[in-house]
Amino acid sequence: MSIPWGNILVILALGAAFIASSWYISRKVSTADDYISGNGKLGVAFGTTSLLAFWVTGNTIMAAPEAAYGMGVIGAIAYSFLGGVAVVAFSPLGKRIHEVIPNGKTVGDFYKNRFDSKTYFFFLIMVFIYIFGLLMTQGIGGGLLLEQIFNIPYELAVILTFLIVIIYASMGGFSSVTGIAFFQVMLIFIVVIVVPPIVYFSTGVAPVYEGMLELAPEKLDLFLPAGILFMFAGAMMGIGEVFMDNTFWQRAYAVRKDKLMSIFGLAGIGWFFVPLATATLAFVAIGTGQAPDQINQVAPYIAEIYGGKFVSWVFLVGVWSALASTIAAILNSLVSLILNDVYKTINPKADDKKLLKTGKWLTVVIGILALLISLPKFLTMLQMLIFLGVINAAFVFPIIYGLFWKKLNANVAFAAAVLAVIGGYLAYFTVGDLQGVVTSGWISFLVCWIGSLVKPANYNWERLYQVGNSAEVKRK
Amino acid sequence: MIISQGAFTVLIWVSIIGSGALMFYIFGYFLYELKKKKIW
Repeated sequence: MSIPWGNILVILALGAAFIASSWYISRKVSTADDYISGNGKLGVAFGTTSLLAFWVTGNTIMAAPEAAYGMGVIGAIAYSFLGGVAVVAFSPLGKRIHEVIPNGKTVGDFYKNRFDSKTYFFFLIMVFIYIFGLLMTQGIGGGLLLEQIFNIPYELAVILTFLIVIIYASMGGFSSVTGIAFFQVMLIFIVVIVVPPIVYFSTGVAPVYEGMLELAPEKLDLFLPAGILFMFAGAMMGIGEVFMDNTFWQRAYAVRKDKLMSIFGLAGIGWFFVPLATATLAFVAIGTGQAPDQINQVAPYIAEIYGGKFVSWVFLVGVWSALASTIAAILNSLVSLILNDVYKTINPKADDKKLLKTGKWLTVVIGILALLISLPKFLTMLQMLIFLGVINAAFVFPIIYGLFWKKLNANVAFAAAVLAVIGGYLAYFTVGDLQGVVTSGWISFLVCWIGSLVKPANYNWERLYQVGNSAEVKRK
Repeated sequence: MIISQGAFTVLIWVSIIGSGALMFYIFGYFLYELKKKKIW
């Protein structure tokens, strides 16, 4: 394979810009709290884009057109619905998080203080497995994406992406990740509002519609069963992922309380429009009968036909920005969790300087570890996501009930999570992968609900409210 | 139910214009918050 130096130069130029911006932002990072969260000060602009940056991955930009190509109009709408609903559904949860645990830093703070130690440690183990797995899916998925679509060798793509992200994420932690995410999301938006109009001004909408009607009329059917199933099953998986993921908790703590609903609402709207707009490129492929060798290449394939090499590079900028922003957000989320929930427990006397230094080292070490594990490309992204979906589904109901219902018993929450993980993986390996996710969710729901009715607790919310209060006082 | 050509056209342009509007809204907020020093 000959090395496409033009594409590599695009990535290097972007990477250099991200690193330089991170250096500039990191000058203001002086405490460990700045490194792991924004302390409830993040405004609408950075709050919304930091959510969009994590949730709109490079694979999302490519997978939405793939869903549209396979399932037509309803596939495009369903894909957009999947993430939009999950982000919007988190907004009441985020509001509640601000109310009951206003000075928390991570999802671990909630688990440690809402439940007992065994439930907390089980959750920590599961959440580390999940977040590390997610980090690997981005590495593997991103490497494959850049290899298949932009001809960059897989190993080179993974190494370049991880090294650039490790450098800029380690400099300023959460502040760098959220600050740079704003510019990355702007780049993604530019791709979305420039590329599809170039294509549609060239082809016209009516000829595309008529072509679809003639070549594949079923793809104009709004009640295509596969699309409807995908819409609802996908939304459930998306909600599971969002509720458990520390990245969302971090942002729920980090944004201003009075702006929380607008931030999550705007991010949900963004998640609906962005994949939908890129998915419309697939309609051109269907309507004109032009299909690439690999279905996931449909969007850049159509973009290059109608926009030439320049538009192809514009697409690379959007895809790689999305990829880098997601890896950076996950990496920082994992480091925050380890620093806040593990390191502080082992070394409670560590001062702010020591914590900050440890955070930077952890970012480098975990980033390199994820890079090395991503190199063998032993799993596809979808396989890994569904495998991790069993864990996500197990914790959805302990979290929802734990935040809103004082009757949820800690032992019941522990039993629900353990049984859901075991039952879910039993179904995963014996019945089917998606069935495993659904089984895990049902066990988690039923055990939490029935168990707490039989043995209700009377949780004192004041315990959660006091989390982080001493640290706040010390800082002020 | 087959989507009509009108609705199909609206879907495509609303998704593009909606993305553009959201981008400008967020960018506008960025400038506003930068001016007010409330960015983070």
